[in-house]
Amino acid sequence: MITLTGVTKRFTGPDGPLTAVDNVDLHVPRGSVQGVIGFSGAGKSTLIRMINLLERPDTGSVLVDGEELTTLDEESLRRRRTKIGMVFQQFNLLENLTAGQNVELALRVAGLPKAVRAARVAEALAVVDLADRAGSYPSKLSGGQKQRVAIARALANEPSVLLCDEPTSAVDPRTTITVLRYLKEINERLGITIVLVTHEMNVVKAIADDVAVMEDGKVVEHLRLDGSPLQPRTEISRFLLDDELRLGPTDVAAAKEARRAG
Amino acid sequence: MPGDGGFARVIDVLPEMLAALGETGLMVLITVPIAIVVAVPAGVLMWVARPGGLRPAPRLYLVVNATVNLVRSFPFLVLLIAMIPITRLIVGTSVGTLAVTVPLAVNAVAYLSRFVEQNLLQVSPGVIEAATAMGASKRRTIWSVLLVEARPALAGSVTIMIVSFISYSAIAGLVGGGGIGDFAIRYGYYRYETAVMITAVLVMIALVQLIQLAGTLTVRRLDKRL
Repeated sequence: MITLTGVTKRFTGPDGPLTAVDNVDLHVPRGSVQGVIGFSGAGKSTLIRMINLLERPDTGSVLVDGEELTTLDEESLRRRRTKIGMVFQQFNLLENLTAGQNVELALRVAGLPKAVRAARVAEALAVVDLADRAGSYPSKLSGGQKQRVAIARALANEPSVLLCDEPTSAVDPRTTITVLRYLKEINERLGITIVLVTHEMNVVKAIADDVAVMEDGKVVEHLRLDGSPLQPRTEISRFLLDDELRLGPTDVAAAKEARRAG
Repeated sequence: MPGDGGFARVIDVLPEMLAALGETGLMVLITVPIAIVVAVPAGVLMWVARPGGLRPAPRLYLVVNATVNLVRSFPFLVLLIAMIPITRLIVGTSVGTLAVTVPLAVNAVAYLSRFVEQNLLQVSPGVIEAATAMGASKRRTIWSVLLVEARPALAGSVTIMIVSFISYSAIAGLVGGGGIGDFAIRYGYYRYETAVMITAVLVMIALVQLIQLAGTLTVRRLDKRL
């Protein structure tokens, strides 16, 4: 369970101060999949990064499983983070460690004794069907396989929450389906709460129970994905739901049209 | 007996040349470990303390950064001379192979620190962020993530440092540092024994090639990116 209350984050950008996330409330029930969608710069990435305090909110409260994270000291926060898995757009695997060693790193961080680590690594890699690639370095894996190793790494410490920051934005459409299938399976089988940030409506439609639509640092709308027809109220939601790429007339075409008319 | 004795002289001076090679070896053996032991932490410190770093400490960063630049601004010959009092304090004398290792080490530390810092800056910030998200402490992030990912680049930097070292050690001959570079200067420049100098230079070329080869192989073994 995650509850963000009134979280705000300001940055000093090149064009002066910028409110990346503006007084957002978000409640994610235990075991659900929460999508967060929006264009680049909408604040969705900052929002998800506030859940494990990679970005510390300027104001507001971050509750994970009933525990307030913003008031934790460094050591407690560190321990808390071992129970919040995270996967990234660029996978962020260590290139000089094998798939197995990457997963094991999470366990070493959590202070697990060596004796139990091997079994846990095998277990985590088995969840993403990569047990046979434990000895492979990331450079020998495909993009989809790298993301699956990253998912295994995020799961190794049996977290209650999995944060996914654009997990499918660096892989092709077929691999996107594979990655989403694993995430869905993890959510259903292990009951892990998932928050997934993306700019693709199809990604959240495939997996989320609820989608928070973000624009200019605010959640402007929630779309329930319970099978009933979607009724977007905002223009941005309608735009995001429209999967056709409408380019509109180019300048050249417009000029031609004008000549013909004139 | 100055003058050009031809390549026959090479046989005569062979023992001396081998001794000079041994001195170079000694200088490398003493200085390189010192450089690594001091420069890697110094490089890590700059990486950690830099603005936007893992634990920014602007003032500390400024001090270390400026010190590294200060040492690097000295032409090595000037550093060598300027450091004589300190050398005398540490080694007890300011001449000889052992004495020369002091300025050599100081110089190597400064250069290698900067190399290390640059190597660390090449490590993907995403990987560091993943470690933070995992719950890794700063110490763990440095040991198990940062240095692991930078390892191949660090091996490359150490190789560059050892090679440039052989050139610096030649200048150290001015204070009786010895070594193969000094040997080449003494015979080639002061005694006009061109053949001996050429031989010494050939030995140095072989030496540098060997060090570079060993370095390249090490980097290749450590680097898992390809």
